Amino acid sequence: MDEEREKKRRKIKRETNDDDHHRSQLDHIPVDLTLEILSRLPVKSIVRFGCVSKLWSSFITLPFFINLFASRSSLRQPSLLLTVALEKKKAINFSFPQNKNPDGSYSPLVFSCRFTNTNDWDYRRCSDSVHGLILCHGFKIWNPSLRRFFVLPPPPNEHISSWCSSYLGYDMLEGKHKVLSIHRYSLQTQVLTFGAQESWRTITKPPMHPYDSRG
Amino acid sequence: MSKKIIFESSEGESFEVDEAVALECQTIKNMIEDDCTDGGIPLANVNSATLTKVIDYCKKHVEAAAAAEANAGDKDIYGANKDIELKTWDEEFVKVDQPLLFDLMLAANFLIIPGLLDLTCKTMMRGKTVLQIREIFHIKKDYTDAEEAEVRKENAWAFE
Repeated sequence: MDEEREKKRRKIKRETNDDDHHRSQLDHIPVDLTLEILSRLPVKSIVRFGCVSKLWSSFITLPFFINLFASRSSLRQPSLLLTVALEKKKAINFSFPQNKNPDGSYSPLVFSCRFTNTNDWDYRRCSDSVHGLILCHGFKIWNPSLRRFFVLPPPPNEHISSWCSSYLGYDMLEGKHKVLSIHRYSLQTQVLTFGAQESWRTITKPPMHPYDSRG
Repeated sequence: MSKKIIFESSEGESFEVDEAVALECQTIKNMIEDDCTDGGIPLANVNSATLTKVIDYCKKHVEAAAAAEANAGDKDIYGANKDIELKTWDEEFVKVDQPLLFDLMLAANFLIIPGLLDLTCKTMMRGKTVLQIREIFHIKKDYTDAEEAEVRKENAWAFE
């Protein structure tokens, strides 16, 4: 028993010594600590600090970092996103921080709001926000926090994409977003999982439910 | 008389603190639970100046928590004032030079003091430019000028 304790103590001492070695050089902040620091900042700062180095700019897409940030931001003030479409391809987005009262309710006061002019915008048929992302018409994914759009490859069938009903979802187990696309007439069902090698896979025997245009 | 825990700084200086104060550090809490704190805890990577500050922080937060508990019965504006007071205290606490702030952050990370880690991280980064961050973290710019200009252009909104 005593031996065990002594071992533990020695281990702690050794670890602290190792850390000391790093610290005295001061130019080696472990990556995990850097991620800890960045995950505590607002998105705007994180995006800005992407200019620090190539390594830092890669953090923003790291699944570990995204989860760390998401778990922290869920403790922050929630914001309400309001999108006003001006013309066909223009919109202004407002983000209202919801101010939480000590009793847990939210006060309707708007303390600040943020505008984003989104020129690359097609407001038709956007999904709700799903774990931070929004699916827009034409297999376009919108990340309102990063103010970025990216376009998914359309399903590889001969039909045009507007004949498909598409839904965005988030797989908690895999920690990945997925898009489900169902062809309106052939009912061919395909799923795209987000990731480095995204490609559509066809579900041969999808569970069928009565069809409803809103899904 | 509450139980005392002895910390030993990198310079070998001893610091005696109440167990309740030491329990603010998750790492130490684990050691206390495992009953391996007899004869002091050597902290070879925390110097005396940093350790003094860390102990101040833990003491203040233990006191604040105790005061909050005592007032838990009559929850009123007084409680809110206390929160503001502690926040102000925290803000004053991190008004230190950059190297000490850095050491405090590393100590908070190593000892696992979530509140202090949060406070030091945010203070460290607040209002800093990209250049300043490179300096603080000793990061060599690996973008070419053209690449950096491109990244800045892509994320122009973050620099507004």
